[in-house]
Amino acid sequence: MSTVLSRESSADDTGPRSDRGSPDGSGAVSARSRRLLRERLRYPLRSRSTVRRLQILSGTAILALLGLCATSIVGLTQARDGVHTIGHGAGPQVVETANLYYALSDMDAQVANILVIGDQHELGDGREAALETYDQRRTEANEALLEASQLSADDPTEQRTVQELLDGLATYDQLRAEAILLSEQADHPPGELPEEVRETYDEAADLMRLELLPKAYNLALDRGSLVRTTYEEKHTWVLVSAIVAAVAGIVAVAALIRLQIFLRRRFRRRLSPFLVAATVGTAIMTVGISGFLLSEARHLQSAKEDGFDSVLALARARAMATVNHADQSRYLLNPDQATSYEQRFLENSQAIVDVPIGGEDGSAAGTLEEYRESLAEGVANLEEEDVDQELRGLLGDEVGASELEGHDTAILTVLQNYTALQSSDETMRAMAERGNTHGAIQFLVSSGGGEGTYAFNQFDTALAEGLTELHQQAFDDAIARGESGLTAWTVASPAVTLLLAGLVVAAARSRMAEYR
Amino acid sequence: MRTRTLALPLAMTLLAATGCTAVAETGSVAGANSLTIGVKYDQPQLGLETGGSFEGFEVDVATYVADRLGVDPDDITWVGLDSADREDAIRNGDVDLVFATYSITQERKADVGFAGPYYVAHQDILVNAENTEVEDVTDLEGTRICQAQGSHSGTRIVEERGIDAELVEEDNFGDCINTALAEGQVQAVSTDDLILAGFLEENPEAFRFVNAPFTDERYGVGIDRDDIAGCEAVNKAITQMYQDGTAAELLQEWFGATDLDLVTSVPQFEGCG
Repeated sequence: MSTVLSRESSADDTGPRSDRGSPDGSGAVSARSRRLLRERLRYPLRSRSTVRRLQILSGTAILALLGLCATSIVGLTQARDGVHTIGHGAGPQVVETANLYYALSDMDAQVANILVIGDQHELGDGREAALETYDQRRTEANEALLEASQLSADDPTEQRTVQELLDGLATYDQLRAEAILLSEQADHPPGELPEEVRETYDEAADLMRLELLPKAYNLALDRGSLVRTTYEEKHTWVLVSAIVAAVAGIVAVAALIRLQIFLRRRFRRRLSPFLVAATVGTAIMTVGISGFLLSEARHLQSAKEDGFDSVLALARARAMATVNHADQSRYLLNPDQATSYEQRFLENSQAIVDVPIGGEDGSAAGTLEEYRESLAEGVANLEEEDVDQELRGLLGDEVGASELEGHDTAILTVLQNYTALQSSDETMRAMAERGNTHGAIQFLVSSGGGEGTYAFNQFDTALAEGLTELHQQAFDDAIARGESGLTAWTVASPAVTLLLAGLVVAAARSRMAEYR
Repeated sequence: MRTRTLALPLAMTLLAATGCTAVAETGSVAGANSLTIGVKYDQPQLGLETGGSFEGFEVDVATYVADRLGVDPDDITWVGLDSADREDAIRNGDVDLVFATYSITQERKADVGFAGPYYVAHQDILVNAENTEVEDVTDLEGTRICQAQGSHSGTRIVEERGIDAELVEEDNFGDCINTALAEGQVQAVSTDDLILAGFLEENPEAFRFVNAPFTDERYGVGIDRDDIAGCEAVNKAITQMYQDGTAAELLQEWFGATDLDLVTSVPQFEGCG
């Protein structure tokens, strides 16, 4: 017994000195501290500094635990806000607004279809189907606008854009009804639009192209910026909280270990079970909460980058392709403006998939023909050698943009279908240029293998159901993973840290009781 | 609220400790007290330097946007830019924003960011008022077309559209219109409609726009690529400029005397970042 005691006292002899010894290590101070130490060893239970030391160490541990608790609450709250905004608030709203753009462009495409087939009501998918699709899109557009109207209540600029869209849409509806009625009355053959029908339709189409579509697009961009800023803010907060929680946890564990050692030396106790429990609990809690917050940051990132960003880009690409589909009909409807429509088709095509054409010095903007060659080459390279040479634009940028399983195959399928769509457009234009307008119209609206509408539908399906579905799933999964465990941790984290703090208090109090 | 007040100092401490100050915040045109803006100095009605000051549609648009960003007109420093210097001026930080008939293209987007466009101009054709034959670019077959030196607008018609026309070059578009076209040496001049309209002020009734645009030239606001918040703020200002009727007024003021079809609804934005 005496050997143990003497060993313990000699161990204690070095402890405080290394702790409290003055940096210059002057002989006077060290002599004084040795004297104090001897006194304290002789009358350990009377020393006031022991109580203070006990208070400081347990106080540090408790403060660090409270810090851990507070940080975890901050981190969890930010994670909850982020997951909620991106998963259920602004995120789906952006996609909804992007779908508004699609609904509008498809409405316009259906009207162009109805007018281009004229009195041949059964041509292609037929007039009835086009009218039905139009009504369906009109309802979708209305619903999206009503929702947008509620969401933009606190932003007067956005609110006004929504109002202008609602008004514009009503005007568009009137104009298209008038154009369809006039066309019906004229009972004209495919492609041979009477002047007054064309004028009315041009007015509707211009309203759509110059006012409605840009506003709908800008609205989606505006919402997108809300998602971006929310994501950046929340992601940073969650990461910072994870780090701060780890630091607080480490400080708490260090203080608890130090306290344990201190008690063992000063009070000659082996181990305090309360402290052991508190130390182990704190270590587990720290690893748990920091790890959980880090994984929340990852889920937010995955929802944003693998899910949201891609879904939005693909929705934009789909809407633009639909505008292009309508421009194909307009190209046939309005020979006077054929050059403008063709140019717009090229520019929209480049926004969807951009490939290098024209002169580098700006001497040439490139032609549709060059575009198709360059596109076919780029997609073939991707197909054969898996190299993304110079595909850019909304879909081009998606190549290699995600490591999701199945993404590479799905984007390649979309691009192959897009190339096929471009070839079918080439066939259609060649017919029209030879003067075979009727043949070109028949080809454009037919949904049989290889023909215009078929090619468009194939592309649209690969885009909307294949690739978009994949990223939508990734988005939903990431949000679900981000939500799971959030509530449990939010309840557990304060409860556990308070319990741990209670253990420390209990351990310290039972020692301090010896002073009373 | 409580979590915010608690969390902010924590994060600030941590950010300060790792050396990441809020540079992104202060480096944005959103929240700036003063701005340096690049404009054209030789385009009548768009950006023209006269007696040390700049005037034109783009100067007015820039002033409006700056005002919406909270910058007083007195706190704007104007810089006249050559077309070739626009990217460097932005990249080197010599200017904060550029409003200088700056078409948004994929190539340029590799170097600089674009807010807007604030207007979509089109390559169009200008003919003499009495010429009623030309209705489309294809009607230029067999004509003489004037283009300014260094411009490719006529080349595009001949080479890309396959139109068999003869190209004539003058020093600038002003000479093309007010000399070559007015005197009948050429039948048509073609470039961005706003640029053409700018040279028409002296005698707008003598000429006619064909109004058959065959390209979209989206005039964007050049901005630092990384300044996404600034880009979004500029877009918001442009939306407001159209909503409150300022855009329509400015277009009317600078180009209203011509018979150009002016679009007074906000253009489709390129999107930031």
